[in-house]
Amino acid sequence: MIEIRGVSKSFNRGEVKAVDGLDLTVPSSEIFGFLGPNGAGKTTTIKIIVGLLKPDRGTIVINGVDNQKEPLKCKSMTTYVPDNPDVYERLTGLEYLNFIGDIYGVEKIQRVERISRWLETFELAAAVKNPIKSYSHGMRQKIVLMAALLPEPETIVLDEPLVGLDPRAAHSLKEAMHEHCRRGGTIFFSTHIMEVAEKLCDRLGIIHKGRLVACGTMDELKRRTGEIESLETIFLELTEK
Amino acid sequence: MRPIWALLRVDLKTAFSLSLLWRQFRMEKKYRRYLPLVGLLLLALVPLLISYLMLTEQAFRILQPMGQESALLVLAVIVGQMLVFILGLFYVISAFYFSSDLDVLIPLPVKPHWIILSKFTVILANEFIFLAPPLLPLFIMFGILSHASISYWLLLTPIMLLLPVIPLSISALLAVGLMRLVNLSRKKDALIIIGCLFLIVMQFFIQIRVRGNAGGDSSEAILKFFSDRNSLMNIIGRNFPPAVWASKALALGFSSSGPLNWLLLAGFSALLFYGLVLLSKKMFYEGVIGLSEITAKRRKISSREIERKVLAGRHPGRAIFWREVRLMNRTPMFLLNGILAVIIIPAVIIIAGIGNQKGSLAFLLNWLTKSSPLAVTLIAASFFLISGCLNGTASSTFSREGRQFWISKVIPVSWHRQILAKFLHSYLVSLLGITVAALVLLIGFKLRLRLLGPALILAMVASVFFTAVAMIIDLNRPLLNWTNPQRAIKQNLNVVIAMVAELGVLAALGFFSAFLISKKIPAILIYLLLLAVSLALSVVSLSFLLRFAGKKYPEIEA
Repeated sequence: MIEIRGVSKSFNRGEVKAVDGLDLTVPSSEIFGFLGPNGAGKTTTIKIIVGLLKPDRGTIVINGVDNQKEPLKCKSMTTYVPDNPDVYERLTGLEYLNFIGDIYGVEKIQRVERISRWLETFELAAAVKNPIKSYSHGMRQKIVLMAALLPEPETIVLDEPLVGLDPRAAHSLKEAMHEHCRRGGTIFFSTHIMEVAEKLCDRLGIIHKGRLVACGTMDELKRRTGEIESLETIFLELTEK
Repeated sequence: MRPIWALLRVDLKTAFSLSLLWRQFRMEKKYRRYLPLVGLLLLALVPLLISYLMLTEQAFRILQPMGQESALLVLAVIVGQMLVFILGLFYVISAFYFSSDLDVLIPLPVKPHWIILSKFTVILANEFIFLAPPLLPLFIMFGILSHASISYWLLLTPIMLLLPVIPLSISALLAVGLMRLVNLSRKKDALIIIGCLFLIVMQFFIQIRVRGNAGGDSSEAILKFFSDRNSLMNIIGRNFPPAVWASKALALGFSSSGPLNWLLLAGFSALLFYGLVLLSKKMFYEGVIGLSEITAKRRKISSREIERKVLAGRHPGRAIFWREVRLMNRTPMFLLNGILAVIIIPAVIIIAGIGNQKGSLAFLLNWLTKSSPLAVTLIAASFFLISGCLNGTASSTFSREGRQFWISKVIPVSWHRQILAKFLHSYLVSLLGITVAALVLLIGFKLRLRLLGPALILAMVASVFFTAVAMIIDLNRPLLNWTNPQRAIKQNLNVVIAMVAELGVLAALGFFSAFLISKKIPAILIYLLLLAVSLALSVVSLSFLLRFAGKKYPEIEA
């Protein structure tokens, strides 16, 4: 469960308000889709959730733990996939997964089982012994996703995770997200692909100029905007002003 | 605007982060707070400048009666040009072949030699900045002392601008040739390291040869100095004529053979520069395209291999330590400046020592051992510290993470634990340097164990302090947005600041020891006092580093 309470963050001495008084709760077992135009504050919000940025005001509570007061406890319950798969190029895929396994304290038996499963799912078994430097963008994205799934944390935060993935991998990821929520975990992810958000998410939030302009299930959003049919039209309607 | 100018403009702005600095200065208050600090730092350099100018004057006054004062010019030029030659090789390889902007530039409709010219100009600008502080005061002082004519002052700027062109062009020509060969191979990283090592060793041998030919040891050579005006200049510059051309052009001005030397310098610079343009037209794209590609065999991992290669679970601190080791040693530019640097530098001193057996170094050490064993121990300890700590390993430990720093920020491992793992890695590199340096003194200079042992203990303790200070400097303002690994370690201001700070501490400890020796305090007491001071500094700096990390880590935006 993620609770975002009155979070604000600005840059350039307050001239640019990236996030402005954001209030949002994402309960357990939910896939929450975070939408918004470029520069709306999606990545800043995500970076505040995972502890990469400090908010100017407000609190983030993950499964009852404040991420400013007990950052390590929060981090051990959360994994993160950034919008750009920048990982250690000089390590092999397997070395990177082992590193993440060590950091999150994943036992050998579980590590072997999960790595084997995800290698098969994301079709990386032929490349995992090679340096990440030799991977394509999509393969790097897959290794970052595998690293986020490996510890089976309670919360997974993903920033545009589908960019660069082939259709099969994108499908596998969506399956993995559903599976994670069935086990009681929380998924918070940002995307620009409206069809995916519409079909995959239990609830959606639309952020515009740092403020949450809409939040709810697809049906709730439709009702709010006068029964508009597609999410794309709702998005355009809400972010036009 | 012609494409080449557009390219150059962007390259200069990127290299010196001009737009970013201006924006930060205008927008962010904290950066304006650095201004008085920079002023203070510059002010602190004034005594150093005064001592340097006094030394120059003294050297001038000694050489002038013999008519050899021009040797001062050639000596400065040759040292400067040699440094440009050696350091230039790394800069050139890194800027020409490992900049991340190449992925953007190569698909553009720009000619290969435009890219080379633009990048070459940026490195040249860097070299001017590097050469100006030591050379310009010396040239100005020389001009004043020798009552130089107007031609000297007129020619000073163009000659200063031309000085780095020849050594940098030679480095660039070597680099373009080397990288063409490297790109033919599958083991590119290994070949880059071997190639660079070969060229560095070659450069050192040239240096030793240049020094050897100065003929400083034989009395015959000394006599020759007196017989001919400027003979010392010719002897020193014998193996590197461009240094003589530059010095003569400057010293003789528009009279005598001055214009001829000026023409030689400018002509040879233009010729080498044109050679670089021709070579880069032919070889640059062949060297750079596909360089970043790694030809990896794609063989599916078996379940047995997974069982074997998936680890049982290491302590997080151990995992971070091994990450540091792997990332440092698998990136050629980091490896060359880390482990290889701490091995090569003392090894080169061996070569230099053996080459000069009749020279003064071994003799001086032998004489000092008899007259003041404590001085030998302290000199040895300083040598160990310089060999082990004055590299960029500790002072770039955070910067090296670059854009992957986000990983360190999101993982559930405390800052303290991360810092300790990083500290251990940097400290072990220092210990390696100290060990190699100790072997140099033991085998190469036959230093006695009873002097070497205490020096080793002192250096091992003090290197904790040096490593911690270097890490604090890097943690304060890590350079994370680099586009090529060279910038993280060789062109990182933190590395320079750490080196200056460490040399400052060494000098202060040196003055302190000299003061104690002059007060006739027993050697054992002085040694124990220095050991206690080093131990105290180490404990204080390490605990400050850990506390500072707790404050600074959350502030770093990744």
